[in-house]
Amino acid sequence: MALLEVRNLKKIYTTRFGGNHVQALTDVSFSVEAGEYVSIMGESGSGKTTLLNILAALDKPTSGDVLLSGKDMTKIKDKDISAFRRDNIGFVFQDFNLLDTFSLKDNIFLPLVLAGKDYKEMEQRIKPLAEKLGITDILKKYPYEVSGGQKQRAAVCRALITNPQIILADEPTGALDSKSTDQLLHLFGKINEDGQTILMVTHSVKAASHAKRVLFIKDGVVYHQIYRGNCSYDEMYQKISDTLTLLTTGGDRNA
Amino acid sequence: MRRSLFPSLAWQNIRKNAKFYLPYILTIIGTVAGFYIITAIASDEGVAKLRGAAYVKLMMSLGINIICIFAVIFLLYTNSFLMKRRHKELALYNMLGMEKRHIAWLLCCESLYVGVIGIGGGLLCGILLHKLVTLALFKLLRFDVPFGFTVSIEAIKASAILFSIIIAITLLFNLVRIRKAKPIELLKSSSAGEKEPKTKWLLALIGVLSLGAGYYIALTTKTAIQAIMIYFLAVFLVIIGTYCLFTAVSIVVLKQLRRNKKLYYKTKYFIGISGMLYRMKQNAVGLANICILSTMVLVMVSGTLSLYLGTENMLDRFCPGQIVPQIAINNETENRFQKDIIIENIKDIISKNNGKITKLENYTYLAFAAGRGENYYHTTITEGFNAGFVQLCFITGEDYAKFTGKKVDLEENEILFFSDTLKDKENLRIEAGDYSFEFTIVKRIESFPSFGDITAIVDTGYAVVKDDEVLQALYKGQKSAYGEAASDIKWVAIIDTDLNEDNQLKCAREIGNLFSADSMGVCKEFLVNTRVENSTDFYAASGGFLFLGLFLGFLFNMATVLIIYYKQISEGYEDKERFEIMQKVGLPKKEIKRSINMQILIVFFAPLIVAAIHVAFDFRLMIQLLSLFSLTNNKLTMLCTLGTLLGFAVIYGIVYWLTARTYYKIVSAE
Repeated sequence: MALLEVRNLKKIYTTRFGGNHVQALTDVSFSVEAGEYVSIMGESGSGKTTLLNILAALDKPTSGDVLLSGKDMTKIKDKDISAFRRDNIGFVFQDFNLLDTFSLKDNIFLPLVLAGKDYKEMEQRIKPLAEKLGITDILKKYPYEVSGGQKQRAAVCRALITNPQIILADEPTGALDSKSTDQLLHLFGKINEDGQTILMVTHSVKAASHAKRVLFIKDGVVYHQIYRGNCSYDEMYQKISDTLTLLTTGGDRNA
Repeated sequence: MRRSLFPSLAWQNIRKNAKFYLPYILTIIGTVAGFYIITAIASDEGVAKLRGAAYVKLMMSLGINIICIFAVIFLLYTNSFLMKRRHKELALYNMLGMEKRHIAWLLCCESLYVGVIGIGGGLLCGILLHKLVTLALFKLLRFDVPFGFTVSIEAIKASAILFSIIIAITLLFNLVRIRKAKPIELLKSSSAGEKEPKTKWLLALIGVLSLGAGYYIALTTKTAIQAIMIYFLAVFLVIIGTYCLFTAVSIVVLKQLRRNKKLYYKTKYFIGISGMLYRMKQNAVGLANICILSTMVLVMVSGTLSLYLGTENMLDRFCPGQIVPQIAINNETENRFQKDIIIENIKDIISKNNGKITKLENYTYLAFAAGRGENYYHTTITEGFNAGFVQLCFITGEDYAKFTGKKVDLEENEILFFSDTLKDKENLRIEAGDYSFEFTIVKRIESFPSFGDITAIVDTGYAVVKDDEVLQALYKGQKSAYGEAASDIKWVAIIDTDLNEDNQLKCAREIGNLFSADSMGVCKEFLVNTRVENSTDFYAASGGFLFLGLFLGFLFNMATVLIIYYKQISEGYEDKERFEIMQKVGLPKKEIKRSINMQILIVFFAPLIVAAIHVAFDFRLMIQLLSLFSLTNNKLTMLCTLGTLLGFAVIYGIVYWLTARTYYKIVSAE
């Protein structure tokens, strides 16, 4: 059984005064196996963000199911949803979303504290992770004192510390310079090698080229997908670029 | 750029920023109205003609000064808050191509609008409310209410000029600020100050010490005279302590809490402690301001209220009968002072006026100051009153018996002794000039009838002596030391009649004439107090005080409300972001609301609680100060203080509740 299974997802937004319906997702189906590293690409307005919001249980679909380890996320009650999200999903955001009132360490601890974990356990968990992410020396600092790349690594650490089933990353390199981007993508690769499932939404070809599989969304449906197989990053980059060109020039799906 | 653009742009700015501007303009209106009313009352000719008007004038001019200072500080403060919020907008204008001088123009236009609306509206409100406030004031003063509706041109002029100047000053501040700032700084400045607050140990220590010292002073003053002298020192220390408490002590405490890892990393405290840390840094000064303003309101209102409600009590002490003649007896003549003759004469006067005496008491006493020696008291000025001085009062056993109904039987060198402050137990030794007295204290009595115009502003001992002879001897003793400055033996009578007020005054005048016609020369000085006149004076004074207390209390309250409102708004905008992040990280909405609610409650009610503690410590000092006004009804003062506290807490709570809604609207806006 796949770790994440998305079936016939449909989302229609209704403008506030009724009337206009906007179809953000038409019919999206795909699945992610445990240990996979999947990128979802698409232009602005293709429904990427809507999809991610539904996967993150921040939004409900109009119809369709999202199953995480066989549990239907769309059916979870509102009061349990926060806890479910905290325990099963790790988030990495474009704008980091670190709280400026906490040090990096406390930011990372936040989900554990919310889950009522023991302080000793927190310390044990953070140690290897911080080392892997190269932020051991800056844990005591505050978000305003460190660079964007460091902030994002702290955010990754926060996502990983709960041992989530899946990491959802929303444009994680969007606010980073190219060097930090490289570092972060390298880290994602490493984390994935250690067995962590990652699902990343991006429109950066470079970011997507690090994934093992790339899904393309257009007009609310999964339009196409590419497997990396044994390609190098550069070959993958080229493949993605070609596909995007094809998509924008309106090429045939089966080309 | 076209000049004509600025007025309309400025107007739009004010309307768009109504959330910030409206309270600001309302404050100006309120302050202007307050200033106008109090100036108008002070310059009212109708008031000036009334008896007791001098007190009212004094109070009003005091009020004018306080409002002046208050207006300057407060409007500058709110203005700086406004500008901080608007930095981004102004920076954007700058980036979009407006030159700084254009922005300056814009600000000038805005100030003009604010000034015209604020001052105009304030004067209008002031003129309309003037009559109402005058009515209330006269009611408090027990004056007859005059008819007519007056507008004081003088007060209008004064208010317009003062507030134009204040608004000009705020404009100047803003212009300087714009001139100095770089657009990039302006853009960023509302998100500045994210840094973690530093632990200021020294400041925290100073805070704890000065607060402790202030409280210690308040708890250890024994007499009213001490209380006066150190009151302002205590207030000063407590104010410093309050600022340090909110800025430094709070952060030290929170950081210590954070160091306790076991406690800190609990869901309940984790967000709370770090949130509070951040909030205290941003709001410490504002909260200290709220706290001090609240304390002032509480002390002022409860003090003046006790004074006003205690007026009868003060009158009873100061003038215990309808007519109270007092004579300082001349002991330098051959002729003995004969009270029986005087009493007969007074009785004649009353009956000639067709009155009947319902009560007539009289007594004689001697009170003089003495230096404190070791186990004795002396009258040697040359030694100086190094160890402080005390007041000693003596009455005869006969008079004491009249007051208390207890017959006393004393020998020449025996006394009954009462004192709250003097410790003498076995005997009382007095070295008075060429004379020396050694009294044996037969009994220390528990209480002493209040009499004469003696108030215990210094440590005071009361003694009952055998008879007039002892009193005379004591008089001679201190006379030989003090000479001209010596105290006289005083004779006091307390008379109640069935006469009406006019006739009481007539009798009092006739008694005065009797004393001044004194052919025997036994009457050195005299004074005839009447309840009627004293009552007018007392109510004019205490009513004036109460009016001022309520009036300023109202203004300060308005300031408190405004600060709370602005704080709520700024907290709201900052919390909005945090609220969203926490939600994304997995904190349930309900939990976030509860946590933020808790923090906001602590932040806004801490000043009220600290203010209540201040007032509690101040209570003793207040009682001592009030005793200067002969107000000794501590129970009344206690009730007034509690009542004021309760009333204030209710108002505070309502204000909090109203402003909290604005806060939630901002936080939960999508």
